[in-house]
This record gives sequence, structure tokens and C-alpha cells, in this order.
Amino acid sequence: MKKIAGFEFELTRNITIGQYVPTGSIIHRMDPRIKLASFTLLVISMAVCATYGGNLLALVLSCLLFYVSRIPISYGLSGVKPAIPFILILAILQLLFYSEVASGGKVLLNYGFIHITTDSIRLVVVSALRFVEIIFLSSVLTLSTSTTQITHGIESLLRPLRTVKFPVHEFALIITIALRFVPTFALEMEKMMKAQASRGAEFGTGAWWRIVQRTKDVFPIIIPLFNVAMSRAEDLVLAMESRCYVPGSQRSVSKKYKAYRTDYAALIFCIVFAIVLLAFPFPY
Amino acid sequence: MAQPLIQVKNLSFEYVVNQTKIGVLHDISFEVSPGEYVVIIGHNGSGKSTLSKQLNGILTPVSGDVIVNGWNTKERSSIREIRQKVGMVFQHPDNQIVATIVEDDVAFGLENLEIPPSEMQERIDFALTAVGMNEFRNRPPHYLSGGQKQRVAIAGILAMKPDCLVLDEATSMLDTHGRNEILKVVRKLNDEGMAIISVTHHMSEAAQASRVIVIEKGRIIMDGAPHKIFQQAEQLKRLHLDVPVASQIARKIQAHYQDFNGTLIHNDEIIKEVVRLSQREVTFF
Repeated sequence: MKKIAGFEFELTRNITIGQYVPTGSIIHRMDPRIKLASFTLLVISMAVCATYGGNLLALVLSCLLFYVSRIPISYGLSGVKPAIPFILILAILQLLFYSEVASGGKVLLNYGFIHITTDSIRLVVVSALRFVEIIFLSSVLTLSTSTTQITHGIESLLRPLRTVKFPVHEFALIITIALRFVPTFALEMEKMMKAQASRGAEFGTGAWWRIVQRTKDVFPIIIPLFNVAMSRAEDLVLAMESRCYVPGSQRSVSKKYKAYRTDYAALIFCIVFAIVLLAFPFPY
Repeated sequence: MAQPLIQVKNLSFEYVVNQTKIGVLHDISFEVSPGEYVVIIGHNGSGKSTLSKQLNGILTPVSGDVIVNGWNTKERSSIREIRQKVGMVFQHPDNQIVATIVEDDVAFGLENLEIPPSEMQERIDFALTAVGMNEFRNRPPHYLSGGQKQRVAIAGILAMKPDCLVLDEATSMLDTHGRNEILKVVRKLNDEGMAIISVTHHMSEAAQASRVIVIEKGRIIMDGAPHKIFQQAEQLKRLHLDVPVASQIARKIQAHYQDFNGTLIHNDEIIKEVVRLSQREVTFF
């Protein structure tokens, strides 16, 4: 693919974490806690389900979710695109080297160490499908939920862990701050790359297989970026303390979420769906 | 006037770097009353920023005391009350916003103060309206300009309902437009009775204050009304400090034209003076 001149340093455009597409659909309006729990359930069941039938069903569901949330499916596809090389490499490795694990079924090819059976074919296809399903699902989740809602959701779902002295609130705060600074650091990196490039540094000009060269290219960016991050962190600590933040002390919560009947219905649907995926005897 | 809001008594402070002590502030004493607008000026390394950090207990004096509304900053048990009374806005617009949405960032301080959610919404509305950022409440902060981010930072402080706002070079990273935005908000808050302590490089900002404190090498060397301070142009020049442009112009005109009042420091004062004198000329002929 040819790069568009002038846009190679515009990193902020390409960052999709925390991108939120407000369409106001049912999925958008769901209680974030229940939404997170439901999606977690679905992802787990999809990761475990190992049948063609189950995975096709799951794929249909994850496509349907785009329709229900009124988010263009192209968003999901753009999430799958960068994963294609990984999916392919994984598929090839599984096909060649997983014969011991998936040794059941009819033997299709037996040549030297290569040993392909109907089971290993199934493994390959199912893993690829899983990849796509899970990317679709997590895209719908992040595209339909603001980062604040996600962190609030995580915080209240993990609340039971407080009994074992897990710092739930601190954990949620760390996630919030990390997400908050992603675009800031992207912008910072952009500036540094431009500054270095204007002094003759070259980025991304080496061929992609020269991994060492391309890694070395990044050093003049990574180290100053790290330095900046540290000084920003120091400032942030001062600002947080000035606003009465005391680590580990009691805080109140600004937002109260209320789960409605539709939320519980969605949760029940996801539970049923997960049980079907895991327990239903799909013929294939 | 009633009891001072902030009392600084014989404050001295030093940093310890590699076991050598570097004195930063020496025997500083002053008081800030409720509703005052104090500007602290001094060139880089004079200790002005360190001094501002003493005012809400981020740093505590090595000797001497800082008393905020009766609480000593050395007593850590009342630190939350002190920081609620004395809010602080820092230099870098990006490094003081915690949350991913403007509204949530304003709520951060309130959450720390354990304000009940029912009251929180009201306070957030109040603070965002006060800085004119209400329409941006659901925006992520990285889509805002520097001046807007700084206004959000001020809103985050205002929501805690402080009595005093400390600006630690809060306008130095902003362009002229952003700086004017912030100054407008600050002036409005001061008119409504909030004490302002602003650490700055910008002399035009100092001209707006009710009082100017000049710091040099960790000592207060001048303390008074801006009109008085900026008359001592020679001494300020020795300290590598400017005087406001208006003041420079007033003095230049005075040098050529004795009748012109050389002590003016505001642009509109100069206009008035010119109008006054020109009217006199007209009547003269």
C-alpha cells in the first residue's frame, strides 16, 4: 500500500482505542456493568466452543450486534484487517504442528512430519473464526461504550474483590489515566518524530523484514517519550494531590448506574447463548 | 478586614540535593486576606513557584509556618481541608486533567472530598458554567485548546468551592488568546470575592492585581500596589523584570511631555490621559 504523503506521522488519526461512535442504540444505552458482564460471558463461551456449528452461530450473532448497535460493520472489519497476518501464521502453524493435539478424525494427508486430519482442519477454521468473532465483539463493546463507562463498569464488577484487599478503585483510576494519556502521548510522539525527521532521521523507510533496523529506528523516539512520560507523571501527581487525592482513602462515586429490565433481559439472553454454545451438541 | 486567609510567617525552605542543602526561600512573611488579588513576580529560579507550592501544603516549610484559615500546613491531619480551601492550577494544561471526559475530570476533586452524588451534579454545573465550558462537558480533553483545558482545570478546582485560587504560571504555556480567556475568568472570580494568588511572568497580568509581590533569590524585596511597584522601573530592570508596556509608554511620553502622568499602568488609563490632555489643548487654543 502506498503511503499518502504527509500523513505518515499523523498517529492520532489511527488510534482507535477509546473511539466511541454515539448512535444511541439499545446497546449504547445498556448499563455498563451488565454490558461488560454479558460481553465477557460471550467472549469466554466463544473461546471455548470448538464446533463449526457453534462458531457459525457466534459469528452470526457478532455480526448482528453491529446491526443492533447501528455501528457500520466496516469498523469491525478494520479491526480484523491488521490481525489477518497473525490469523494466517497461526493457521499455518496449527495445520503443520498441531497434529498430536488434534489427532482424531479422518487422516487426510500424511507426509513426513506433516499430518493433517479432519480434526486439525477444524481446529484451524475454528480458531480463525474465533479471532474474527472476538474482534467483532470487542469492537462493538468499545465503540458503543465510552471509556469512562468501561472503567466505571470494571470498577463495580470488581468490587467484590475488595474483601480480599484488592485495590479496585486504584486499579480503575490507573486504567482511566492510561486511557486519558493515550492520545496525549500519540501527539507527543508525532511531534518527536517530526522533529527527528526534520533533522534527518528516517522512520519506516527500512524494508519490513529488517526488524533490527526498524527497531533501532524507534529508539530515538522511545527514550525521550519515556522521559516526557515521567515528568508528566510528576506533574499529574501534584495536580491530583492539590485536588485532595489521598491514595487509599475513601472516595464517593460521581455516577450512579441503574439497571433496567432490558439490561437483565440482555444478560439472560447472553447466559442462554453461552450455555447453548458450550452445551448444545452441534452436529459438526 | 477579618482574619487573614493565608498567613506566611518567617518561612524558609531548602531542597536537599546530594546531601548539600540549597536554600530556596529565606524568611518570607506575608498575609493574604479574603478577596485579594495578589500577583507574585520574579525571574526564573527566584523561588516563586516553590513559594506557591507552600500555600496548600504540597511542600512544607523547613522553618517558619504557613497558616491557612487557622490550619498549619505542617499538620497533615487537616491537609484535606487546606487543599479544599486553597485550590491550585499548574502550568501545563495537559498534565492536570485526570479523566477522559471533561465532566468526570471536574468530578475528580469532589469524589475525593466524598461529596454525595446528588450534590455533585449541581457543583459540576456551577463550576463549568463559571468558566464558560458547559457546552464542552462531554468532550474528551484532548480535543480542547490549551486555554480550554486550563479552564477545565480551574473548573475542577472551583467545584471544590475554595476560598483562594493559586495559579502557578497557569498562563505561561498559552497563546495570547488563551491567556486572555483565563484572565477573564480569574478576574470574574475575584470580583465575586475569591482570593487569587497568581505566579506569573506577564507584567500585564500583574497590572491587574490589587497587590504585587516581587521575589528575588528567595526573598521578598517589594510588596505593594502595582502602581507603586511599577514606578521603580530602574530597580525592576536590575532584577531583569519588565514593567507593563502601558507603563513604559507612559514614562516615555512623560519624558517628552512633563504634564503626562507617568505612573499609569493600564492601556485604558493611557487613553483617558491622552483624551484629558488633548481636550485641555483644545480649550487652550
